[in-house]
Amino acid sequence: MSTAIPSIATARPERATGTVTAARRQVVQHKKALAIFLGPFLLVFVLFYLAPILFAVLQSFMKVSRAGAFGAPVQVFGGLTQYSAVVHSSVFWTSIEHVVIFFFVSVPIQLIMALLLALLLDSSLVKGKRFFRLAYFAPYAVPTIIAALIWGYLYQPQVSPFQTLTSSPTFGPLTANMIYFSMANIVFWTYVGYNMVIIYSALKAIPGDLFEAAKMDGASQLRIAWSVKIPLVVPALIMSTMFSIIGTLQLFNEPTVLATLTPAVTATWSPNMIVLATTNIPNYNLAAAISVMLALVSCAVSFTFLRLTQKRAFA
Amino acid sequence: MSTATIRTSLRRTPRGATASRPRSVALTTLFMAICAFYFLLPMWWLIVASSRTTGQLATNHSLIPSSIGQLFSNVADVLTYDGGIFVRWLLNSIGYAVIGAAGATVIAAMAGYGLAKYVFPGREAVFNTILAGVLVPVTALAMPLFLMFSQAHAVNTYWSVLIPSLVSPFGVYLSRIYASAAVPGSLLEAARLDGSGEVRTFFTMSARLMSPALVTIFLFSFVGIWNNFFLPLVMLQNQKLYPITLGLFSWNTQISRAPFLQTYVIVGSLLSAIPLLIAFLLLQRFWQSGLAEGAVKE
Amino acid sequence: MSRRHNTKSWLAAGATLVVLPLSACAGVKAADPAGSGSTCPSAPPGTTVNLSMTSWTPGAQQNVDYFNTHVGDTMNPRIHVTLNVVPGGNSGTYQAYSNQIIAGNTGDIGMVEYPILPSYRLQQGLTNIASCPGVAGARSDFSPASISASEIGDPNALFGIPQDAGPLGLYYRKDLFAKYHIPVPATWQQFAADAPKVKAAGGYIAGFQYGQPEWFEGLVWQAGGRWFTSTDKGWIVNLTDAASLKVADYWTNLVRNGDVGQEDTFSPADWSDLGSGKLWTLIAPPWMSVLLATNSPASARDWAVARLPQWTSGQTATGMWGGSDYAVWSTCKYPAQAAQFLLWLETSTNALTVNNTIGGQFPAYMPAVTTVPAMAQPLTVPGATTGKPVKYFGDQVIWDPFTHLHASPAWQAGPTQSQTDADFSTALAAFISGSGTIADALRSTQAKTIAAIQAQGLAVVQEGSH
Repeated sequence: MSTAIPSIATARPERATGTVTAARRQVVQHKKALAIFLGPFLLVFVLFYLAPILFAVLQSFMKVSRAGAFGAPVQVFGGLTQYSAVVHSSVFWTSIEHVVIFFFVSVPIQLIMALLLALLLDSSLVKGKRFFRLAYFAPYAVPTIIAALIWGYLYQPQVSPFQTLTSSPTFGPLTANMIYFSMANIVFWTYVGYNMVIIYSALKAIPGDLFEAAKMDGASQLRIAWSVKIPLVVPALIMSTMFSIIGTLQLFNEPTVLATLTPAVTATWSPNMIVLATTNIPNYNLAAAISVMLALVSCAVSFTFLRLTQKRAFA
Repeated sequence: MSTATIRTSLRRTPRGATASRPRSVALTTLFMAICAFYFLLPMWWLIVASSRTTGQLATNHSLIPSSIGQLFSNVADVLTYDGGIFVRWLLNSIGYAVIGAAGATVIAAMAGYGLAKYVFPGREAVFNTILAGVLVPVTALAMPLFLMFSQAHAVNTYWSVLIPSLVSPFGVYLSRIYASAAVPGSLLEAARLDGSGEVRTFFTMSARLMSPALVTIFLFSFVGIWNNFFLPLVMLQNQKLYPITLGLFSWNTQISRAPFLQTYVIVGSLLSAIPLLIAFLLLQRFWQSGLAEGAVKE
Repeated sequence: MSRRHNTKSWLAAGATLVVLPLSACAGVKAADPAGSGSTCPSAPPGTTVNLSMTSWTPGAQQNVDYFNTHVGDTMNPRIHVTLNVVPGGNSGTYQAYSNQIIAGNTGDIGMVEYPILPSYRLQQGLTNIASCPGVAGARSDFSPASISASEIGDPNALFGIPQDAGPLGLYYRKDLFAKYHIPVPATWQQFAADAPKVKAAGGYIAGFQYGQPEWFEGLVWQAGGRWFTSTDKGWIVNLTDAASLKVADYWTNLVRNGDVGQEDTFSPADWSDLGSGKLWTLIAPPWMSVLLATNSPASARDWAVARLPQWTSGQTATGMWGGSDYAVWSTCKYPAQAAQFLLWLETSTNALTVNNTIGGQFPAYMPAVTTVPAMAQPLTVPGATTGKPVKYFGDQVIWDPFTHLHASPAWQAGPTQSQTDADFSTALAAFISGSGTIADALRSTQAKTIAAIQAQGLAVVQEGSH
């Protein structure tokens, strides 16, 4: 146990329970309880979360060397060989381009719709709220891979009930120019309800007196929505956006299903598909490097986003 | 952060005049109904398509169910095909999700509670590390986990999917926030004075106070594990261990060899949505209030 | 499930995870099975050995059942075989094999097509059965090309027992060639000369099978090309040797002049073209016979089989497209019994008859020509409309031309052959859509193949330079 405990000073105000020695005594007192509380999680976290990450990072700096024509693989230090291969891989950058475009096609409309539906549900304008809430949330009951399978069928002219649309050579969901929208539609269908419920819960948590005050000032429903409700659910919106960012970068299920249906989606369309394909070669070192790069990009984007919105997220 | 007034009660303040704008109400309700139609359409189509034979699927494209008898016959076929493997997949998914989520909830709740109510050196560092874990794509872990489990000869087993599911950094985050908001330090002091041990206090008192968060973490983990596809794809080769996601996907890849599997995939998709739909209906009250706490970070 | 997964085991695994790459730096190596003077472990006499086997050959279950009831008990130690029917290699089974090799649960015997064998040797997944009882004597009875494929670059080793062979031959519409008085080509020069005549008669002499890299590789094989050579120091990669370029230029000219069609093999359109007389020949191995007969019933009795056209008149060279082998996995506990079973499976008249009649397989076991009665019979398939047996090729015994063709044992598949095939397929698609020549496709595939081989940690000691 160290003598200087700076963490206490930076802890939340109500935790500052006094002197350093008092805190030390407190820790000693509840050491066993702490071990029981934190132990299990930390054990599995270190073994099954940190260790694999560390292993992937280590692997990404190695390469395989073999003797002769069929020698057994030996891991040797490779330096930045794998990272260089990733950076020079046009397939990798194309996949990043795919998910970035996908993000802008898919996420804004998803959040706007979730917000709109939540606001409408929270207003006096709607009858049968319970039914709508459940109807919008229902898609979340379907695992995303199965949702992709279902929409895959709805997109195929052979079985789809939408014959005209799916048979169209320009507007067919499986054509190259519509594929982003088709994929975004699947994600939209699955997640709008979920995001809506989060925002709706945040709306319900706003104290009623704020609305009383606004109404007394003569504000209309629309005005209230714009100036009172939306600003107060911004934290929820930010959380949803964060998860959407992480989710989009990891996109795997939807393109994997669509790849079996249309040449517009290749087996290396998204970064995670490349990781799997690389693993199957097998080339674990390169797959590890791609994963690490993807994780770094993911963390960097999330972090930047949080930084930019920090004040509002943690209001 | 205030430990006072927790916004657990849902706002029940009556809104403005409800019946004064019938046209707006009608328009809005119409809009909502169209949205509901969109969200429910694929599931309706599943029911419709499940009432047809594989041959009829290619010819009949209407949105009206064909034959209830065929629907039941298809369901029976799916449940009995290949020695009832579909039921096995469903049970596997339920097993993975219930046990995994329960385990994840318990250990995440304890960890969050420990981080919230106790002070120790390096506490923030530990918490920040765990939080950073939320940002790591789970798929990056799959391959190293696979290699690790191979070493322990545990790949292609139930454990290989269950154990990684126990780690829920987001659960720890939620649990910590809720514990610091919902469990007053004074209550803990009182329990200590009464002679109750820390762990006992947690299980008898604090956990109950934290229950909305616990349910949220459970549901969040449950859905996450239920949805899980990439990890089982990497870990499992024995189809008896597949969750429903991997099972239906594997059937889908075999359609060119066995065309009747197309019907089975559709019926199977319909059946696979039922457990969660029931769970949602039953647990409505909990996930709404719980999610509110997660969203409004105090 | 065993109780091995206790805490210690996990901590050990976790520790291993960190130590593994570090220890590898110290140069810890695993042995390559073929290198040492290999032994062949056998079970003690009087015991029963259970062998597990995976296959997708039609009729395999029948053969295994027959073996278990009539043959397995006559051996000492007794042998019992469990068959696991799996989808075709490229439909997921090859990936499953790779996963199983990592997990260490491959079983005893697995069906693998010849071109994919080297990659499993590379993954250290195979057992050398060269020194197993019966193997040395039986080697010379299998076709040289199939044995060469099973040796995987080491003439003293054998990693599996060959099942069937896929020598390329010429299926042709005897009625159309006769009707228009065009000679059935026996040389490639004649083939090229016939092409415009066939076109004038309203058809194509052949379709360029752009989606089947192994089809083209078989033709290069016939011409004496050799894309891969394994050496002690690494690999020689040469996709642009003289033979490859000769075949490439030949077909580039035919395609660009419009003298041959572009065939999407196995597609409904393809079968329709073969049935309607749009395509007059089909360059394919014996296993295509049953597929053709089943999918193009309209042209029953119009087809015959001849030897593949030659580059020099009078020769009998060919190359192989497909053909498979039963490999013995490194996890096989008793390779002696596995080899004994496989030798029965691939030499017994009973088993080979089943393979031939149900699956249209052409055995790699050369004496089968005389010992298996089915090999002297015309091929019959159930009629499409009547269900009654139809002699699709008339009275011709189609196996004859194949028997008289010889694929050189010099050809070797590469260590990343499936990747090579995928890259070549992509390159051919570009050629078909109008850009470049087949030689360009070969060059780009060569570059990608070299990169893939090096990514596996192997050295490429020499590469083609044309």
